[in-house]
Amino acid sequence: VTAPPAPTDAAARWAALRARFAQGLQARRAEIQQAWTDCGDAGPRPDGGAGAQAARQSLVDALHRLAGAAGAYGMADLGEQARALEERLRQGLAGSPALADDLDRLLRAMAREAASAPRQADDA
Amino acid sequence: MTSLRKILCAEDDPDIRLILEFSLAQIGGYELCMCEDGAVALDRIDAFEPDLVLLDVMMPGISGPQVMQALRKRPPLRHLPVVLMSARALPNEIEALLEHGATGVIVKPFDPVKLPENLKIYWEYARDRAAGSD
Repeated sequence: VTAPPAPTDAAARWAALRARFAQGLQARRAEIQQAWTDCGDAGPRPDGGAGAQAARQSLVDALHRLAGAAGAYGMADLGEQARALEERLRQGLAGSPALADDLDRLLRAMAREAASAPRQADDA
Repeated sequence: MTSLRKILCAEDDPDIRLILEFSLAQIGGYELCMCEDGAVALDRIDAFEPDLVLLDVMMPGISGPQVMQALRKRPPLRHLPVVLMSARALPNEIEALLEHGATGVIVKPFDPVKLPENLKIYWEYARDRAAGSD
């Protein structure tokens, strides 16, 4: 249970939280990359074997979490990219040739945000 | 219900939990009970006695809607305001959540500055509806 703190230092706290989230994008990026790799050469197809389906679901879940969090941290574009990819996967459009390119674009954007994050938020 | 003071939240993503704490405790000034999943929320709700419950829809184990259904079956908590958070909220999905008893639906990504006021609006709506049914 968290007692309500005094409403001071909100801007500093916000900056620290945002930096912490941005730094954590490296781990989220690795998770998405791994799930994509685990889907195999055919990509995240909904008609794959059990392992491929589990990997596809992991990919969908990771994109879903990113979509929900990124916008709240002021990274709307990142969140929208993740949301669009999640929806395409849910709709079974995994075979779209642009999917890999769009996923790569998302991963690069995540790396950029992580790289530009201030290194001052370890205690956030 | 005289004022919105205590909020119980259930959210599995640690980054979202942090921003919820920032939004609701630091900005909103509410007393929070933060839970990492639905089972923990059900375990803590009696002791915490929240004025409003905020639940993520998609959580591992017991989902937000399942927690809400469990609360609706318990007479003391049947009319407790429950707001669901969804990162995938199509209009028909929002409608379905409301029909299943949600007081309101917050679409992710939410604005952490506006969230406290939005929850207050939902709480007041639930209070007025409860008063109208007396």
